[in-house]
Amino acid sequence: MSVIRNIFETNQATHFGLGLRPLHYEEIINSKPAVDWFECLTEDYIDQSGDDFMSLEKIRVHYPVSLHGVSLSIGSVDPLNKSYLQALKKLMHTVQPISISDHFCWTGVNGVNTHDLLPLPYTFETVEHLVSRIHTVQDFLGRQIMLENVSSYAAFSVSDMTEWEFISEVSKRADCFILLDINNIYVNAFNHGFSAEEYLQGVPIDRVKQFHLAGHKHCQTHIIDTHDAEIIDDVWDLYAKAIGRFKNVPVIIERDSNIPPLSELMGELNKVREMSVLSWNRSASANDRTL
Amino acid sequence: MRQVGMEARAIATAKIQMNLKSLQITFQNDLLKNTTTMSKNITFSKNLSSESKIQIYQNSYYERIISAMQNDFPITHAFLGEKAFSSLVCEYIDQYPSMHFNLRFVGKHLSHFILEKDNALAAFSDLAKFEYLMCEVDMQFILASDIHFESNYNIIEIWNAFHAENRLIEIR
Repeated sequence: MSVIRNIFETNQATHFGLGLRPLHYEEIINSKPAVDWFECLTEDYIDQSGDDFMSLEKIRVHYPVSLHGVSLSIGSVDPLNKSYLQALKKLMHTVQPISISDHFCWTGVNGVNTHDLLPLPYTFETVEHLVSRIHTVQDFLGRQIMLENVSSYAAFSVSDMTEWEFISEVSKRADCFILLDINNIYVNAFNHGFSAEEYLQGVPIDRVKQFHLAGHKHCQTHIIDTHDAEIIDDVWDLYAKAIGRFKNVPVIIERDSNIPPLSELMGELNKVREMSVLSWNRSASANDRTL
Repeated sequence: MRQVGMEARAIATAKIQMNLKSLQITFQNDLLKNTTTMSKNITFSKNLSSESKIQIYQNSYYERIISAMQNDFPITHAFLGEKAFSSLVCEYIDQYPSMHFNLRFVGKHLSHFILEKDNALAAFSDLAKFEYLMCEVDMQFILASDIHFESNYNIIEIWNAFHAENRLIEIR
C-alpha cells in the first residue's frame, strides 16, 4: 500500500483542541484564544464555498485544523461514495489538515443516507469488509485516516467479538488509527453492560492517536450521546485512566448543540491541560525513579 | 444436551443468515418504516427492550432531519408551526429519504412534495422553493424573474419581511 505517512506524531504544540463551531468563529478570529488546534466537521466545508468556508480560511491562518467527517460510511455494503471521496481529497489539499477522521459505522444502504452513525455487527465478515475499504480510502487519499468508536444503543447477537477487539483488529490490519472517544466508551459500557476499563486495556496503545471528550444525556435505562452538556465526573475519571495508559495523546472537546460561550469550553480545555500535565509529570517522576 | 445442541445450531444458522448486507437492509428498513423486525437480532438487556433500542435510532433519525429542515426552512416552519411542520417533514422524508452525503440537500424536493400533496398549498410550496434556493451558497443574487412561483403571493417580500423582522429582534 502506497500510503504517505501522516504527521500523527504530534507534540505538545498540537495537543489540546476544540471542535470548531460557527457560533465561535468571530471570537476565534478576533481574540485568537489559546487553543492548539481546531477540529472541523468535514461536511460543513466540503463544498469550499460560503460563509463557513470563508471563516475557516481565516481561522486556519492562525491554527492547525483537522477534518472530522460523518459521511464516509466505511461500514456500509454500498460502494464507497466516489464524489464524497473526491470532494474530501480536494478539501484535504486546500486546508492541509493535521489529521482526517471519520467513524467505525455505516450511515445508510441502497443509496440512502440516514445521517446517523449506525452500529456495526462485530463479526469477522465486517472486519474483512472494513479493512478492504479503509485500504482503498487511504490509497486514494494518500494518507492514513483515523476512525472513531461510536456510541450505540443496540448491539447485535451475530457479533463474534467485543467492540474493542473489533476496532483493534480493524485498525491493525488496515494500518489506520483510532480516535478514541472516551465519552462513547462510557456511554456504551452503560448501554451494553461491559467494563469501560476493560475496553481501555483492550485497545493497542500504538493505534490511538487522538481522544474525544463530550457530554451526554442520562435517561436512566440508557444513555444518549447528545454532545450538548458538560463532561461529567465519571467521564473525567475515565479520561484520567486513558491518559495513564495511552500517555501523550492529543484531545478534542466536542459540543454539537446547546453550545456554550467559548470561555466555558476553554474552562473544560484548561481542565484537560491540567490533568494531562499532572499525568505526564507523574510518568516522568516514575521514570526518574527507575533510572 | 439435545436441546442445547439444537439451540447452538439455531444460533449458528441465524449467524449465517444475518450477514452484513441483510443486517443493514433490515435495520435501515426498520428506521425508515417504523418497524422493529431487527429486534430478534439485538442482544438482550434488562433495562431496555430490543424494540426500544431500535426506537432510539428511529427517533434520532426523524429528529435530526426535522432539525436540519427547520434550519433550512425557517419561514415555512414559522407559518406552519412546530407540530404541522414536523408532521410534514416526517411524511416528506418517508417519500424522499436523503440520498446525498450532505444534509443540506435533504429539503431539495420539499416544494414539489407540498404541491404534490395538495394544490391548495401552492403558497407553502413556493415558500419552500425560495427558502431552499436561498440555502444554496451561490443563489444569493438570484433574479426573482428566474423563479417560477405557483401561487400569487409575493414570496420574496415575505422572505425579506421575515428576515428583516429577525434582524430587528436581534438588535433589540
